[in-house]
Amino acid sequence: MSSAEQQAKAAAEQFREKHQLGVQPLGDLVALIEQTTGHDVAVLDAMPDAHGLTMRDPARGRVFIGVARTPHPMRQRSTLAHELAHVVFDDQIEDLAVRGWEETRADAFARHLLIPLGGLEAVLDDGDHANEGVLSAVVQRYLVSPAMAAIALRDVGAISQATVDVWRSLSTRHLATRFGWSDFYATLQEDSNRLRAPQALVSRAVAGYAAGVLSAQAVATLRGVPVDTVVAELAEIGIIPQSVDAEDFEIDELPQIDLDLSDLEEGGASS
Amino acid sequence: MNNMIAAIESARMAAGLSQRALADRTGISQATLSRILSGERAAKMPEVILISDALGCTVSQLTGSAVADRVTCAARSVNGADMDAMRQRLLHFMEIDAYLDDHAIPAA
Repeated sequence: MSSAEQQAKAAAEQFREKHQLGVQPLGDLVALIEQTTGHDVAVLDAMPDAHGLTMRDPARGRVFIGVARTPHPMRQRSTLAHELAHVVFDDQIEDLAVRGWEETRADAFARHLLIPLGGLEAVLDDGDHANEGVLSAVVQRYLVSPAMAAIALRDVGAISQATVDVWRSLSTRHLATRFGWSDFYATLQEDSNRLRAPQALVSRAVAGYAAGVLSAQAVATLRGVPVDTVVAELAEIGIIPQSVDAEDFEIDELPQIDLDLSDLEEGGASS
Repeated sequence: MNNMIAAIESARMAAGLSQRALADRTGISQATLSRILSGERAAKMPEVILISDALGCTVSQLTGSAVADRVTCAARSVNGADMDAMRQRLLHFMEIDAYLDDHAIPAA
């Protein structure tokens, strides 16, 4: 086992333990990441190859995680878990186009987080030789790609590397269709292909709108919806912007302004 | 594409506005807006303010800011994909977040 793999496994186990996730399959990863890390996650329109990006503002300690919307739900989950790894390991990468060691470690973290070997062993029958039906059940249970499920099955000794190499090329759609869960898969696809605004930021933007410091258009652009929709929705629940009126301020409450006008005087004289 | 054009285009897409709709909202003529967005002509400050207002982003996001200079990124992509669209969107979130900090709007 490489050290990237070891670090990833330990960190994934630690993460599950810290947040009391046991060895169960994980549900909605966007909400899980938002709730466990306090960082915002957004599902965005992006180029097909741009899977995920984590942006950090070191001055304010804020982190935003973006992933691309896609009709491939398992890939999106793996990207989300991968981005979570960058947060957990505090990775900062200069060149976005080059895949370094951190990327390998983040991939391994994603696998160990999404499909914990301890949990997988418990659901497999002892000494069972896994067939494609078992692979399908594992993919459906943990919502991971067949390739990721196959590696985990190998790591618990259920299949050989040769079988991994064969199964790696199977698609989730193939398994879902063959084993009768294509309806469920279609639901997952709809979910992963939908835009999602960063929840905490939108909530805070609504507070800013109510306080009169942020425009309705700003809220609309954050969410990616028309401004009329935002105004109507917020008015419906009784949120209308407070006007910041000049008459609200008493003149003696305004801060003292210390203006140095000496340059003006001298400038006038010397030039 | 310079940073300002990339930021404008990203916010324009997110706001779902055509170039024509943006011209209408800002009162900047379509011809002028088109020249600004193609990089032929630099936007003047009053135009930048009108555009940022119409797109719901901060002026500093368009003119370049301390936030944009200090953020760091980690990414997952294949084939060295161009991450710029996603980067612009996240930068927009950062700018609005910093703006709300400046106006003392508490975290939700």
